[in-house]
Amino acid sequence: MNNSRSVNILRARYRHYAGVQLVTSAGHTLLWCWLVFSALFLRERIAGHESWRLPEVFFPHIDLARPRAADPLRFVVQLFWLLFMRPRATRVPRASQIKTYWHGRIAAKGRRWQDSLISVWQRRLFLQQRDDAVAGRHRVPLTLLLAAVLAILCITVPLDPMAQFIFGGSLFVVLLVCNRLPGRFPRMLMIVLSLLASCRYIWWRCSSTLNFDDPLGLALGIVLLLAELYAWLVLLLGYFQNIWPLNRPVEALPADSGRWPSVDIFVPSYNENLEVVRATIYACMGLDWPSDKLNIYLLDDGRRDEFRDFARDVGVHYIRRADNRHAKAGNINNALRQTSGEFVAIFDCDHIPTRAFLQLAMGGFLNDPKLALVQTPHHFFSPDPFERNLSNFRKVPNEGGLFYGLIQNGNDLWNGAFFCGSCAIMRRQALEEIGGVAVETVTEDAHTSLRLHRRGYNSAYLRAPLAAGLATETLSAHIGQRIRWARGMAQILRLDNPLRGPGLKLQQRLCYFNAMLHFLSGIPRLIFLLAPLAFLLLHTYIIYAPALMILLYVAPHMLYSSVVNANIQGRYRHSFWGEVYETVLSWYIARPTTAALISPNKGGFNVTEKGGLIHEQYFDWVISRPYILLVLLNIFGLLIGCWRLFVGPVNEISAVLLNLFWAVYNLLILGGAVAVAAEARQLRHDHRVQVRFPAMVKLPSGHVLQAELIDFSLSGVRLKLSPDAMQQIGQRLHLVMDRAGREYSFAMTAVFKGRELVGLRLCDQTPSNMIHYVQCTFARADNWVRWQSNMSVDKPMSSMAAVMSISVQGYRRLLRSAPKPLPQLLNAIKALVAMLRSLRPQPITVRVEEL
Amino acid sequence: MFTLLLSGVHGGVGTTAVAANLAAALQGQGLRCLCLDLNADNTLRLSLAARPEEPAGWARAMLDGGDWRDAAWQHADGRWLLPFGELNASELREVWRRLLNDESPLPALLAQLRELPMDCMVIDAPVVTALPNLDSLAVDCQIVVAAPDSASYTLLKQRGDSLLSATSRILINRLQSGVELNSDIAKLMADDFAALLLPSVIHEDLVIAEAEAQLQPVIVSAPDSQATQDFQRLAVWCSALRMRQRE
Repeated sequence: MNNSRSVNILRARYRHYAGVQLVTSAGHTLLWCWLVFSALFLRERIAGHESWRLPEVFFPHIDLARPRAADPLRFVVQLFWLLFMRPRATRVPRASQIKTYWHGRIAAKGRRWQDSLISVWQRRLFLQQRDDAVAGRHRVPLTLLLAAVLAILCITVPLDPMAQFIFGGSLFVVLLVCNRLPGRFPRMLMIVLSLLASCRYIWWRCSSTLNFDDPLGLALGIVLLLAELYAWLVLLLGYFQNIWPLNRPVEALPADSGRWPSVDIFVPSYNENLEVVRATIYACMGLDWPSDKLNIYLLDDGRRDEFRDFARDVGVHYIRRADNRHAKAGNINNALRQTSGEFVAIFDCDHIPTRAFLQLAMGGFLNDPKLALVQTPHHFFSPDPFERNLSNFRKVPNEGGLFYGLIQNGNDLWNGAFFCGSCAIMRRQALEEIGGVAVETVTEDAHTSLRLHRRGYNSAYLRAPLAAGLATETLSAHIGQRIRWARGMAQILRLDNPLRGPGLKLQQRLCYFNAMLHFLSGIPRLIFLLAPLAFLLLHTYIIYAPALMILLYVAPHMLYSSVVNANIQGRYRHSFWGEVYETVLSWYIARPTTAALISPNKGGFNVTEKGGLIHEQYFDWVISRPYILLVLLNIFGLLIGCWRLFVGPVNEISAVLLNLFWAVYNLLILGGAVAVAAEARQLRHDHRVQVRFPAMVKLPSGHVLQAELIDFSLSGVRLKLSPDAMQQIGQRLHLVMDRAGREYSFAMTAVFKGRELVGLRLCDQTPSNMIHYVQCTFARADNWVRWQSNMSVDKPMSSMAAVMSISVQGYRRLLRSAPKPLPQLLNAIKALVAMLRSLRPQPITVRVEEL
Repeated sequence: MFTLLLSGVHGGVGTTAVAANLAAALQGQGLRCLCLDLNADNTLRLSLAARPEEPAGWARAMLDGGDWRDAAWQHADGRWLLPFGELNASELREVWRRLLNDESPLPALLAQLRELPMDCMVIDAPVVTALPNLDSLAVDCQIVVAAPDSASYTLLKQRGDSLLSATSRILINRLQSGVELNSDIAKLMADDFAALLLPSVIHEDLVIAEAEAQLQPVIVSAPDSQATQDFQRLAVWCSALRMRQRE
């Protein structure tokens, strides 16, 4: 009925324009186009006139129903005059005033007015209002429909190379303009453009690049296509996930601390060093929370007496159990049964909370009774193997930066932020409702929050780093941890698929699905690393299309997505680093994820080892074996490709060049992966945390000197003093640090003394003193907030350069550690290069007198 | 001229040393400073390296009917000093009688001093109870110096109303950070007088006494000491207050 009414309105408008005279066929088309266009897309009133009447108001000498040959010229002249020459018009009554007046009339007269004779003016108003209702009802779905049609056209219409070039190029200009604009809407437009290019590429790949005549090419082509479909899906879901990062603000607690709930702190431990656990316990004991509402439990799965004694000495609860069933999840569940606090905060034993943790993170729970989980970032004050081996700690965002900086924040918008195992608070009643922490998979954390979400509970993510911990030490330990995550995610995908099952909203399903999909990246990545070899070695066209077309289609897809991702992720992940991280893991997660997808119930929980030492610099040959194989294959392909370039037919040259480029890119990324395998030395037991805050030094003589704290660890600090002050420093002194307006003094012994720096070791390591020490150092509330301030925003080209130099460094390290002839070869090449460089003419400075 | 008045909660909290060093720090920040001693002890001059045998001062001049301008000295770093003057017992009694009188000559003296082409005046005043009509001086800020000991805290709690006015701020002097009693009382003061407590404290430091013996301010004799930083912070706070009041 609505449709017929709107058509009637349009007919009425048509008659208005047509009048009584004959309508030409051109006029007929033009008029209908205008009427449909104005009804769908224009506001009801523009410049004080009903929008559908704009032509007759502003172009009175143009008759839409009977267009004449010179009308376009008339239109242009009139438009020019309207825009630039016409004197400002007098104000017409505002549409809203008329509307209010009219609403009053309707109320007064009821529906009878329809029959009564009203002036033409009022009748027009009525018509207009009715049109609005109709148009409003249809505008959204119709716009969507039109957009969908347009999008499908953009994606599917085949274009010749020139047209495709212009299409891609012009959209790229728009993209770059948007890239310059601040705000979220230009970013969304960029996402739309990138989606358009990527979908167009995928459509083209699916529809016109498979060669059904060549079985080998077809098989390999389908494999590559599947990998590309995976990457495309991840891109799509990633855009969805990160479209509007929530940046949730901290919610305040009530001023009356009597209304704050009771909190149990769980610190599960299995085989970690007591040293690592001590700092965490000390920090937990200093949390700003009413002491009668704070219980700290050390959950020791290692059944170690020294842990029990330590807990007794410092006065925290100690829970141990007879078996180790279900590892960490079982450990927490066991403790849940023996405790009773309203909330449970979980810290891995190496995550040191800052004193403000509970006060900042608990607010949300009091305001939202359905909130079951608050997660905060995992922040690391020691470099992970990537950062250490590539020596870019605190310069380039690390692997976790993207997840904790952006993705969780994006998930939070869709109420899909999930539990990450540590640095989180959970509502006990909700946790008990789902039967405690999930034990079916090895990633109990994500699975637990999935269950909470299924029960209709909410989750929140606070991006403030409120706790900090130790990163994994060695590359092999790091990879082991990622293997566990990957396997666990694959298990969840099989056992409790977020796309199915009750309780989740579509958005939450997509967030979880993307998180799981992310860990399946192993095999697709390996396919990308091997793909150019199909042509270079086997000489089959796995993308059955001319090289020019491939370039014209793939370039927008890659370029747009990298520009958009650099824009979205700039602060959290630099371009090309993601590829390096993924490549390192790809081989190792490929098998376990596949195995877990096939038989999800197999396999145990492996514990991530932390806090270790690496005495000697070494090259991890075992870990890097697969990359070296891939490197060798790509180099072989490169050589064959060069051979083809000179020997092969001329019409293949562009295809060879394209594949060579691809292989070189692969080698670049693989070089980064190889560089990570060269383990740098790690000699100190305690990690020093670089900081800068003022402190005081009290000398036995009674003098107090100003100093600046440069770094600290659990066993001591380094201070910077002026050279003059340094002369007064003896062996024994007191360091005074400030914490929340109160000063604490620690007896220290100087262990080394430089011109401006002095290294101090903490003398008194008794629990009571250590609590204060940890409070003044690791647990400072503002410690980690400014941590990333000196991290640069992503610049794709310089990021590319950084990855390149890392890659070259990787190959150099590889050759240096390689068996016999290779290091010598490297030296020979270096000597040769140095020799060649020395041949070039040298700039000289000429003295004036000699002239 | 921005006028700062420092007086102790009770005797022996180190007001004179704070006044001398604060004035030096203010002078170091480019403010022309005048130090006025209202104490009969006449000790501020010792911190400012005046000749000990010199008897002149504003009180001396007042009794002798002379001009206080003849009693003012300038320190090498630019600070001006107007000492109290050396008086014997009967003269002192006469001065106190006049000062405690309703017709106290002090406001007139201050009015004259304010006419001088200087930026700020630091007044080292006696304990508040010794000279009750200090509030008639209309100073811009009164800094009440307290030590982190039980006497200071008790007096602040007990006499807070009469001791403190709208322009008052409490400064904790001689804080020994390693000493639990000191930290605890400082914390109590911070909790009870949150709005009145100055954001910085002065730590107990031997260099303050040493600087006095060397006839130098701390910021010159021991630039690396914590005390230097403490006084500089306090001076920054004072000059910020001065800027705010000028606006």
